[in-house]
Amino acid sequence: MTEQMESVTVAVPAYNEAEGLDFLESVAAGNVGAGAKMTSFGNTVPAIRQEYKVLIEDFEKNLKDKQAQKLSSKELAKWAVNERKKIAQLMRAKQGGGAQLVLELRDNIKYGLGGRSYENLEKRALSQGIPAAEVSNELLKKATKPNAGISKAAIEGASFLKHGGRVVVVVSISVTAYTLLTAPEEQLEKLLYEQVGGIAGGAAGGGTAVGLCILFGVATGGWGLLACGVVGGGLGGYAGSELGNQIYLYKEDYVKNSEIGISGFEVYDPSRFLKSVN
Amino acid sequence: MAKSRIEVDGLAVTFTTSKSLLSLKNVSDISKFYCLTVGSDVFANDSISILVLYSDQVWLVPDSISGAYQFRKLLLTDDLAGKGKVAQLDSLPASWRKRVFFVPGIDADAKILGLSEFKKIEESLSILDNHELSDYI
Repeated sequence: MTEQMESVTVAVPAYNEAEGLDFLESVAAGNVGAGAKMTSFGNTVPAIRQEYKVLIEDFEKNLKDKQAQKLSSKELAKWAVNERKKIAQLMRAKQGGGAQLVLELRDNIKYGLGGRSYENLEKRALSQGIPAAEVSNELLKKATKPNAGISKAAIEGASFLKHGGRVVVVVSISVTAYTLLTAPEEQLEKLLYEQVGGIAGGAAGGGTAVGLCILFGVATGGWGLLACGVVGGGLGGYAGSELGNQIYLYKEDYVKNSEIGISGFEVYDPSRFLKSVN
Repeated sequence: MAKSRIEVDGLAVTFTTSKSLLSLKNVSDISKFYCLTVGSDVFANDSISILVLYSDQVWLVPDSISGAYQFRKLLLTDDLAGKGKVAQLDSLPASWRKRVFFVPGIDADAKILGLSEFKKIEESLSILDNHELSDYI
């Protein structure tokens, strides 16, 4: 039986073959980070859910204590709104910087500068026709309403990410390993900076993209969610790799100018020392 | 573009969307309604919307529009007892969502939809039987 190989042509943003290869290598490095991030995200979601449950239970217990203190309904509502805001911010932080930024931005667009603050919610409630005397009770009710917790999609997506992320790591790491093993020795250090940058950028990009895809319902599970992570990881990897390259160039420049030796010790130059003393 | 609003006059309800679509119904025409929580608080969507099913159309009423408070109070009257449920949905169909800078965001937009549109979410709706409607609306 003769095996036939299919060839696929993919356009990449590059001016020549070498740049094209660089781009693909940075995407692969990015997906090592993205795959690892996706696996970790998949493992963390059940823990986030558990933590959320504990925080909400604490909130409910503290609310009862506050109610016993006979605070006014406005004081109670203010406390409850701020506590719920704190819990939401804490949970969002666990989804990664990018997703957190978008979520906070969403609140600021929806409620006004400051997001879900009591003052913003009060203003909004009044504009919706809620009688002034009812606003505090309404806001308290909203802040204390039961919550379905993390959505079903996130739980299902988590399981897919946990296993799919590992596959992405295995596939991508082989490209990264090949790149490093076949690199000429004089380029090895530069490549290491780029690959490490790519992996870090990929982890940030992959995690952010997965969070955003779940949030906006672009993809909530299966291949779609994995694709979100891979695309985000690729973009993050490319950016990270570029940053790694810039850091390498900066470091090279610094070494040259400050005459730091390979060993890391600065070459002693008495004339420079005397100049600086005078 | 006009602002979406819902006006309650006795048992008659007028729903106007931002695209100036207008629908007038009587509360007794409601066959079913859902208090929809979309996504979850953890993922930032803290708003709720009401999905009202009539024999010929569906209303998607975000809780943020003018008059929503009065409408919600109307839904809690004895006449509609047993017709409402709290339900959770992972995400709304893109065409049901309010656009933020031309991109579908996560919140519901005020919509008057054809009955067939309900099929888009029917299977993925999780009914929260242990949650009380009065805690949400």
